[in-house]
Amino acid sequence: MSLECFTWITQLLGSLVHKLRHKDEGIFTRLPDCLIIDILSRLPEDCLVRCQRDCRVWKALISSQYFATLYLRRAKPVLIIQCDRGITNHEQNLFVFDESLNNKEKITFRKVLLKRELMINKVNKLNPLFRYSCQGVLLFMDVFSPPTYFIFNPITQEEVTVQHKFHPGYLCAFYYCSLTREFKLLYAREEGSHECQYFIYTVRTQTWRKIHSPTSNFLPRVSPAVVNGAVHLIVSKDLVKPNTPPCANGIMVLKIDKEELSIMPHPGSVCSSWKTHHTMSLLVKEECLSFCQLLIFENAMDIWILEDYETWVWTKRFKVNLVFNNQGIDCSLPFGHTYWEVILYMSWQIEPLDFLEGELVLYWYNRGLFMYNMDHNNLRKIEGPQGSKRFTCMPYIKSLLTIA
Amino acid sequence: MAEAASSTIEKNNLTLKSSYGDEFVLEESIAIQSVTIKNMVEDGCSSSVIPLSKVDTGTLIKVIEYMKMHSSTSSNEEEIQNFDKEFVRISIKTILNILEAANFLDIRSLLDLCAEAVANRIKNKTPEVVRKIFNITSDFTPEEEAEIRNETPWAFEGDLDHSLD
Repeated sequence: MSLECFTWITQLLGSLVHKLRHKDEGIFTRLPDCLIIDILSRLPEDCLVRCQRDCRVWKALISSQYFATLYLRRAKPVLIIQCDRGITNHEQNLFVFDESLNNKEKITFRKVLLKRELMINKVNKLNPLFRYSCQGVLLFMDVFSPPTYFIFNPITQEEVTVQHKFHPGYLCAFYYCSLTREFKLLYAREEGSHECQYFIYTVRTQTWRKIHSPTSNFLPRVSPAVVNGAVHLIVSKDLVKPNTPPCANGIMVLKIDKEELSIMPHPGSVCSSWKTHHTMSLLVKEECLSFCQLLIFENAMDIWILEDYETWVWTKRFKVNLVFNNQGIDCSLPFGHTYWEVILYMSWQIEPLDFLEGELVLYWYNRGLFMYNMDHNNLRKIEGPQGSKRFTCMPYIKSLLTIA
Repeated sequence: MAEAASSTIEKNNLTLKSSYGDEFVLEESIAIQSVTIKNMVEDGCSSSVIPLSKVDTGTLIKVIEYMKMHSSTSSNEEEIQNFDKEFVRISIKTILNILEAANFLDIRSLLDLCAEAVANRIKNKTPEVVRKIFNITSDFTPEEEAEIRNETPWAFEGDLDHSLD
């Protein structure tokens, strides 16, 4: 009895002491978890990373895929730029368009600080090519054969190196499957002269899958537009009929969840040559697939929007006027001057990148970044980081997604 | 039926009671911005006093002030924006109390406003201060903390704020 009483008293004292200490520790009470998660998901990424060292529960929470998805939903799309790092600099020169300092007159870029030990800093003196940016994760490619890919998240600084034992063909898309929460690579490989095979590589599991395609004679280009749960690519060539432009089969569609390929026509009229397909690109505008076609000799770009995905109904919505300071596209080439040479060269020089807050972002080789306001029909130039004009720019969104 | 009639006579007023026992009379049309209260009204439990055992008097006054402003037809968007800006110019402790109340009362816009305000306030604070505000204790060893720092050096650049408010 006395023992029971003693235990009871110690317990009472213990809880009293706890209560007193609790009160003493501060005026703050513990919030419900759902509110803590809500607040954390609104924090900028640097603060979030600092919060990771607050306690184990928070670290686990912030590192979870659940939180990463929540955070991604709140994040604002921006741009990321890779500049020439020069001979003396041993680090990657990456800049993020800084939204906190954003005003209409001047856009500023903030340098991305990187861990020294990263492979993308270590590989040969030449820059590894910055090829893809997907859900906050970047893909760099070391150009030397066999190609090595460095997949990197600048926020978590996680880096994964991918080097394939067999030659899978050429990489045409890097995308994220939100269902399985995995990053994947899509490859196309020419088999003989008339056939093409398509493969998917899953980064986390390091596994390959050859995918079935209703047709196996179409070569896709390498700039994917991901929307509506599918990857979309412009088809540049029909291997069976190499001289006929594949207009009726102009867009390759990969359903991300089922990993099934299908082929759809591109909007507009039938092209006179397959080379015209190099003037085409696919982007995403307000959750709709958008088709951009560069009209070099008209100093313009047509923008089509896929109004109805199911019935594949397109509307030509905008005509972008590519004249800046009374200057149109300079079509004088250092070499040959045939019509198609000009077309191919200029399509490589002028690249539509993204729609950002209703403006079309364009990169014009050696001239810099341009933003076209669709409502006011004006083209303005954006100063690149460090006054640079030659760089690689991609759409970007800050995310905490894990790669491996 | 009699209950419904009596509430019409009282211009559809509701009485909210704080955890301290203070009572506040509020028009039903204003109070139902809270989904919790709306559900209670729809379930017919609004005839008597609505006890809000989790909301203290000071917090309830602020919440009512917010609901009144946001249901007012005379104020325009700019006025409401300015009101919101001024509304969260209070101690972080008070914002957290209102946040909890907004969560309990289920007022989404108020919850967003407060959560955003808290995030804004703490984004430049030191981990020590953040821990204090959320009432958590660090369970990392100094070595583990150093490792996290080393993994993401960019997050620890620049000056941080040591103050609680």
